[in-house]
Amino acid sequence: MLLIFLHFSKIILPLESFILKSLSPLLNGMYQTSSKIKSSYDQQTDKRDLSAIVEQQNVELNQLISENSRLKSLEDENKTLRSYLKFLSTKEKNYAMANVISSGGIDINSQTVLLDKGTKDGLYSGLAVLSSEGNIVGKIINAKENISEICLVNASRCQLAAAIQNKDKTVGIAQGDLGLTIKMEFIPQSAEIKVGDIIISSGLEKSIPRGLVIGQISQVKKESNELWQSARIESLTNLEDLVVVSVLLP
Amino acid sequence: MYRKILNILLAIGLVIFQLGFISGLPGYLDSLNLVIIVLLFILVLGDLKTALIWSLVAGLFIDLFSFTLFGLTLLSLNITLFISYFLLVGFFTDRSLYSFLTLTFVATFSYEFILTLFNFMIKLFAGTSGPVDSGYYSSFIQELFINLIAAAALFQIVNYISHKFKPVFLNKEKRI
Repeated sequence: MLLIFLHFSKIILPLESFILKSLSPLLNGMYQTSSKIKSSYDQQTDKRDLSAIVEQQNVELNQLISENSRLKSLEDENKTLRSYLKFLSTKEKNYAMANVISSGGIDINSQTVLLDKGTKDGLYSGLAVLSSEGNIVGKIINAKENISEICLVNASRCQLAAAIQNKDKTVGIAQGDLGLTIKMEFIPQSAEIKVGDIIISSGLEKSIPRGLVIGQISQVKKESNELWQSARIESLTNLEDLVVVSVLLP
Repeated sequence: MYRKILNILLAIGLVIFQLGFISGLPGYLDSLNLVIIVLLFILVLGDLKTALIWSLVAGLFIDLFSFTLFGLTLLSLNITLFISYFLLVGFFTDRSLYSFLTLTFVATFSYEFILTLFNFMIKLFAGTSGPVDSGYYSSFIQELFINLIAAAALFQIVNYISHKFKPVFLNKEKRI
């Protein structure tokens, strides 16, 4: 009771901060070890035909190379046009790097991840969390002085304002599904969506800019007698392998 | 005094192991609640006072890393400890594998039930209560299942080393 009183009266706040700061590296070390075990376990249990995957990825790589060269020429063209129009250069984005120190803690229902950075480092609720590839993996839902809690994009209580990169640029809400995949519901029947379409952040959330990749459509559910269609989305990042992430600061 | 400090340090080590290592393990292993199992072992092999030190320190440190209301884990762990103690003293006095597994089941169930109830009440007062996530019950069953397996394994190890527990099966060999 005394401890709870001391906590809420903030008398032991410096001591708590010291404990959290000094224990975070230990937790991170432990988490890295278990993450390595998880990765090797996943590799062992993955029984897919690797040669078929390599073949498929080679085809995709060739497509991406040609797309990349086309985009590069478009970027150059864009720069030239911007200079002609005297556009302001796009603002540089600020990031804060953070280590993952625990996955969900002891709470069986949390589906969250803890980071070793908090309000002291400028983090607050609503900021986007990115993987090393630059894909959005979740957002901050709670922040203390030295630690913060993020919900991953596949967690049931994680919702992101999303847009489909199709002809219509359909917008909607991407929500986690049981910690396994992401779903996007209430897409109008008239919208043309297909497997492989990329889902990005729509920019309708205050702290999350447009254009961050959420995932790729893996399944479309469309019934002619229903008003809406829905899509299942797979994240392009392995969400179970996160050890270091970056938080996009405004 | 030194014994108390050692117990406190070991309890902190247990929390770090639980939050950092176990939470990142693959498959069902991340559902393991080692804190509850270790508390029960201390209660059965040691005494209530030592178990109380462990429960206070573990609860406090878990609460520091938790985003629920401060003190909830501390309270839930201590209530669970007292429930387990009264069951141990009143009913499961033979210290067999079966009584230890029953105790593990009751303790895990009580801990999660109390924690969920407190969380629900706080959300109710704050006006943010909603239905429990569909994955909650499967996670709960997973935790019960993995805790029972871990408790049985630890029981056999401790029994092999210390013989403090009573043997489970009757020896059929005739002794003359």
